[in-house]
Amino acid sequence: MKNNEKLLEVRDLRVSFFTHAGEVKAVDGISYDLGEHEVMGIVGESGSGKSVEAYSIIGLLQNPGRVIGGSVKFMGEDVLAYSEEQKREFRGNKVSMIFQNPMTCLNPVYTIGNQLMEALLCHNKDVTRKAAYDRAVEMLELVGINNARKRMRQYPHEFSGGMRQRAMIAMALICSPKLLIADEPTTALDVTIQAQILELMKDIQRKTGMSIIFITHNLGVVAEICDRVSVMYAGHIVEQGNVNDIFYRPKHPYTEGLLRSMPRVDTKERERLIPIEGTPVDLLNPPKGCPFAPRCEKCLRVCLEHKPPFLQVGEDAHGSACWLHVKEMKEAGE
Amino acid sequence: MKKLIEVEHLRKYFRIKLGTLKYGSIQAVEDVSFFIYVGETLGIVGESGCGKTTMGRTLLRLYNPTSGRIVYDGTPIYDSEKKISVPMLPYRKKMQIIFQDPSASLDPRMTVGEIVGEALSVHRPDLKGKEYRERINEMLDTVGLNSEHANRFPHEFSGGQQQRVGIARALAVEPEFIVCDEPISALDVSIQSQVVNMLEDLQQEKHLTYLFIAHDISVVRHISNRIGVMYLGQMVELAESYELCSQPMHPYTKSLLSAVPLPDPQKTRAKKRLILEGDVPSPLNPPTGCRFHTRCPYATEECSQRAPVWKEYAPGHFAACHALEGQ
Amino acid sequence: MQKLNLFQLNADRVPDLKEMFAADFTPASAEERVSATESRKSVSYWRDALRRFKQNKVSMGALALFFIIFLFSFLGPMLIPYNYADQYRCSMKLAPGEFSKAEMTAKAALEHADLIYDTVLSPGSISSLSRNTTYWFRHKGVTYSFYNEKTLGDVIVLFRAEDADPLVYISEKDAENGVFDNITVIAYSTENIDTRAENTARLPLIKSVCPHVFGTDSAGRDLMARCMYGGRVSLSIGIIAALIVLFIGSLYGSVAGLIGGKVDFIMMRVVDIIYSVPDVLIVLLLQVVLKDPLQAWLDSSPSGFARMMSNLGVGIVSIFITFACLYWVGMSRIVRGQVLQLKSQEFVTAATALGVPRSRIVKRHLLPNSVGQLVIATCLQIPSAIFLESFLSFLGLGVSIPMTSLGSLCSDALETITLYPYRLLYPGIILTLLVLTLNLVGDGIRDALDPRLK
Repeated sequence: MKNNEKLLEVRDLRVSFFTHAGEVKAVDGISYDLGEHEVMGIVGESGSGKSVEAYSIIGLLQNPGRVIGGSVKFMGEDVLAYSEEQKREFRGNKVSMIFQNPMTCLNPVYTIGNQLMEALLCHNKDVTRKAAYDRAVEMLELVGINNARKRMRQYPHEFSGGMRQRAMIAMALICSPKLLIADEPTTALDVTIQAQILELMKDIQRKTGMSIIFITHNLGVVAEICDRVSVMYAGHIVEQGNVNDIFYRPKHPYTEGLLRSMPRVDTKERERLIPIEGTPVDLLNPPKGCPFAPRCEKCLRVCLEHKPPFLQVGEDAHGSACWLHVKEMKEAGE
Repeated sequence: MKKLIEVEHLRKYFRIKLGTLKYGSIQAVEDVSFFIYVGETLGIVGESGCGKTTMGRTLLRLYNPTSGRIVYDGTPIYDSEKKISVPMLPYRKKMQIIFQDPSASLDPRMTVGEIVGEALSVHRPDLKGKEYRERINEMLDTVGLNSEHANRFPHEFSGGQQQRVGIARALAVEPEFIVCDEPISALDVSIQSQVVNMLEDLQQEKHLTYLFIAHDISVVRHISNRIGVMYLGQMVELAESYELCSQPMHPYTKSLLSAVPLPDPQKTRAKKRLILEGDVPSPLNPPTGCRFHTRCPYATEECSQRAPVWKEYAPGHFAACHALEGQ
Repeated sequence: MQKLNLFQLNADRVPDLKEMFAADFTPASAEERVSATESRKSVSYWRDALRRFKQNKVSMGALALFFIIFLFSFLGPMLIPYNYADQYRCSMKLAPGEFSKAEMTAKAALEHADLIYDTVLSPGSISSLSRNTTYWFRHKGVTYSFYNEKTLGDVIVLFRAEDADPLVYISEKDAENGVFDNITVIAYSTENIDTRAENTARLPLIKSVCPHVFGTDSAGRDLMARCMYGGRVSLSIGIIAALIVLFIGSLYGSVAGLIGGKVDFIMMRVVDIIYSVPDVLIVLLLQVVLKDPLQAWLDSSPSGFARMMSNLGVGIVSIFITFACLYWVGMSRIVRGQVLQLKSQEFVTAATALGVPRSRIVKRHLLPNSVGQLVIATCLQIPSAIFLESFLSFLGLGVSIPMTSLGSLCSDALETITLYPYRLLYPGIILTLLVLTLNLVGDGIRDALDPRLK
C-alpha cells in the first residue's frame, strides 16, 4: 500500500433495498481504502452494486434503499452519520459526483454559466459573483471548452454530448473537491469522445491531485485510467488490487472469466471467446454461498454453502474472496 | 464466391420539420455501396449518427430508400432508376433482423411462445397444434432456452435471455440473411460473449449470412470476416477484418482504433492516440466535400471542396480519402 | 503471506482458520450448481398492477366509497318502503328524520297496538270503500267494523285493534296523481256488519313507520328514495355515455393514428374544430332543438328500440346524442397518441420485419397494449359525463319528470334553499362523492398501470 493518508475508508458497507417483493441486498459487506491522488476503479455488471455504494458514500441514496451496516470514513469522519446539513455541505465541496447521462443532469432552463456558479456560490458564502464568474470560466477552460466566455451564456441543449460531459466535470470540480466519484461517465459516449474525456480526466487528476472513484463496466477504460481496481459481483467485492495485478495476475474466477471473454482488437488469432456461463444473479434470491458459485466452472461444494473469506493473495493489498485460495493454503500447509 | 447482397449508391434521407413551413433533410445514409458474400459476416462499425442502423433497416426495406439499388441473391428488390420495388412479403422469410434492445423489441403483452410463434403463423400457416408447438420449442432449444419458458412473459427474463428470444424469433422463419443491429450492446459484459458464440454457432449450423452492426470494434472484429467503417452516413473504409485493424488506411479508422481502450494496462497506456478534436457534426448539415474534413488531422483545402472517391487501394481493401489518392 | 483479513472487521465475521480448513473442497457438479439458483415466481403485468393499486390507500378507499354509493343507488330502494315517485301528502316538507303529524299518529297507533292491519283496497273492486258502507274484520275472535262516509279508491287503512276506543285511519291514494292524501280518521262502530274489508292482512312491513332519513320534498316524496333513484340514473347515464365516447373516440383515434399522413392531419383538424366549439352552447342548442323532433319520432316509430328509448325519456336520449356528437374528441386524441407511440415501438417494427400483416399488428400488438390507457380514460370520463348530465338536468334540459337525477334534485332544491338546505345538501354530497371517488379510482388505476412508477 502506498504511504498516503487514507482519504476514504469503507468498512463492511451494507446497503439494502426494501421493496414490496422483499429485501434486495444491493451491497453486502464491502470494504476498501482509497488514498490521496489515487484513482480506484470499481468494475461490475448491472446488479453488482457499484453505483449503489457510490451513492451511499455521497449520501444520495433514496427510498427504498437504506444503509443497514458498515462505516464510511472520509478524512477520518464518519459520513454516514452526518446530518442533512452536513451532508449538503459535504457534497459538491469535498466530494463531487458526475453521472452517466449529462443531458439529464444539466438543467435545461439555466445557462451553463449559471449552473457552474451556483455550485460555487452554494458552498462559499463570501465569494463575490464576479469571482465566481471568473472561476467558472477558468473551469470551462480547464476542461477544454474553447470560447469559454461565450459558452457561459449558452444552454445545455446547445452543447454536444462530449461537451456536456465536460461541462459536468467542470461543475464537479469547481469547488476543488478532494474526491470525485464518476459513475459511468463515458458509457453513453462514442468511443472517440470517450478517449477525449479519459485524457481530460487523467490530465486533471495529474494537475489537481484529487482522488477519483471511477465506476464502469468497461475493463478497457479501467486499464486506461485506474491505479487500483475493485471487482464487484452481486454486492460483494470479489477481487481487489492494483491495476497490473488485476489484469496480469487475476486470482478470482470471475475476473479471469471476464478477461478471457473479451474480444480484443490487438490479438493476432481469431480465437473463440470463452464466455462465463449462466445468467446474472437475482438479487431477491441470492445463492446461499458465494454469489458467483452457480456460474463458476471451478465451483466447489463449500462454495454453494458458505460465503468465502476475503484473503490476501498477493502483494500490494491484492485480495480475493474465493474458497480456492483457502484450498491452496490448506494444501500448502500439508 | 456468390454475392448474396449487393448495395449500390444507397441513399436514405429523412425529411423533418424545422419550423412552421421550413423542412430539413437528415442525410442519414449517403451513397453507400458494398456487397456481402453468401455465408460471410460483414461488420459495420461507426459512432452515433453514422447511419449504420438506418442502413441496416433500409436494406430490409423497413424504411423506404430514397434512391439506390438493392439486389438480393441476384434479384433486384429495389432500384430507384428502373423503378423496381418488389413486395417484400416473400423476402421477409429470407431476410430477418435482431434488435439492440431486447426489452423494447419484444411485445410485453405476449408470451415468449407467442412471440416466436407469430413468425410461424405468418409464414408457415400450415403448421398447427402440436407441430406448431414443437417447432416453437425447437427454436427455443436452439437458443438455449427450454420449452417451459414458452409461457412466460419477456419481463420475467434477464437481458441476455430476452435477446435469445429475439434471436429465436428471427430464426423461426428459417432465414438466409440476418441483420444484427447492435445485438449485444445492451447486454452485460459476461453475457455478451455467450451471445456472440451462439451467433457464430448458428451461422455455421444454418449457413447464415450476417450484417453485424455495432459500435464496439473489438466485437465486430472478432465476429466479422470483413468490416466497413461508416462516418456521418458514408462508408469511409472497407476491408478484411484483420487487415483493417492492423493496417487502417482512412484517418477516421485510425483514430477509431487508437481510441479503443484495451484491457491491458501497459499496452493501452503506451498506445499512441490519434485524438480527434470536436464532436460529430450534425447530419442535418453535413460538411461539404469530405464529411470528415472538419475533424481530420490531415485535412487540406481540397478536402473541404471535393468529396473523395471510393477506390480499391489493395485487394479487397476500399477507402475514400484524398490523402490516399496521392499515393 | 496469508493474512486472514485485510481490514479490521468485527471478530465474529472473520472465520476461524481451522473451521475453514474443514470445509468440503470437492468440486460441485453442474446439477448442484443449477439447483442453487431458484427462479422467482413469475408475476404477470396485470397482477403486478393490481398489487400496486391495492397499495394505494387513497384509491382503495375511494373504490370502497364508490361501491357504497353504487349499492346505495341500486340496492337501496329494496330496503326502504318508499318509492321515488309516490307522494305522501301527509308527509310534505319534512326535515331529515322528522315525522309528519299523520305519521306520528300512525306511529303512536303502532306503539299502543300490537298489530296493524293494512288493507289496501284497489279502485273498482268491491273492496273499495264505498260510501255509507260498514266494513269489518276479525281479530282474535273479536269483530271490528268501521263505517265509511265517502267513496275512496286506493287506500291504506290503519286500524288500532286492541283498544277500548279504536280509531280507524285511512290514507287515500288518488288514482290520477298517485298521491296519498292526508290520513283522516273515519267513523267506526261495532254494529252494522256489512261488507268484509277485503285483503285484510297482517303486513309485518308496516310494523313500524319508516322514518324519512333524508326528509321529504314539497310534494311529500321521500328524499332518500329520490337520491337513490337519482344516483342510479346519474350513474347509468355516466357509464353509458362514457362507453359511447370510448367506442367512437377510440375508433376515430386509432384510424387516424394508424393511417397517418394527410388523413391523420385532416381527421385531427376536425377534432380541433369540434374541440374549439363552446360545448355548453352547442349542448344547450342541441337539447332544445332535439327535444321536439325526437319526441315526435319516438312516439311515431313502432320499433322496440324506439319503445325503449321513449321509456327513457327524450331528455336522456338527447344527452346521449350530445355526447356522441361532441365529447368523443378527448378520447380520440388519447387513443391516437397511444397508437402513435406504440407504432414507433420496436416490437411493432419487429413484427413488420417478420412480415406480419397490418391488421394483425393492430389486433395483436396495438390493441392489447392500449388497454391500460383506455381503461383509465374511460374511468375518468364517467365522472365528467355524470357532471355534465347533472349540469344539464340542473338547467332543466336533462331528465324529464317523473325521472330524476342528482342534478335535477339539486335544481329542485334551489327554490327553497334557505328554508330547507338539506334538500340540496344530500344530492349534492352524493354527486360530489360520486365524481370524486371515480376520479380518484381513475388516478389510482393510472398510477398502477404506469410502469415507470415501478
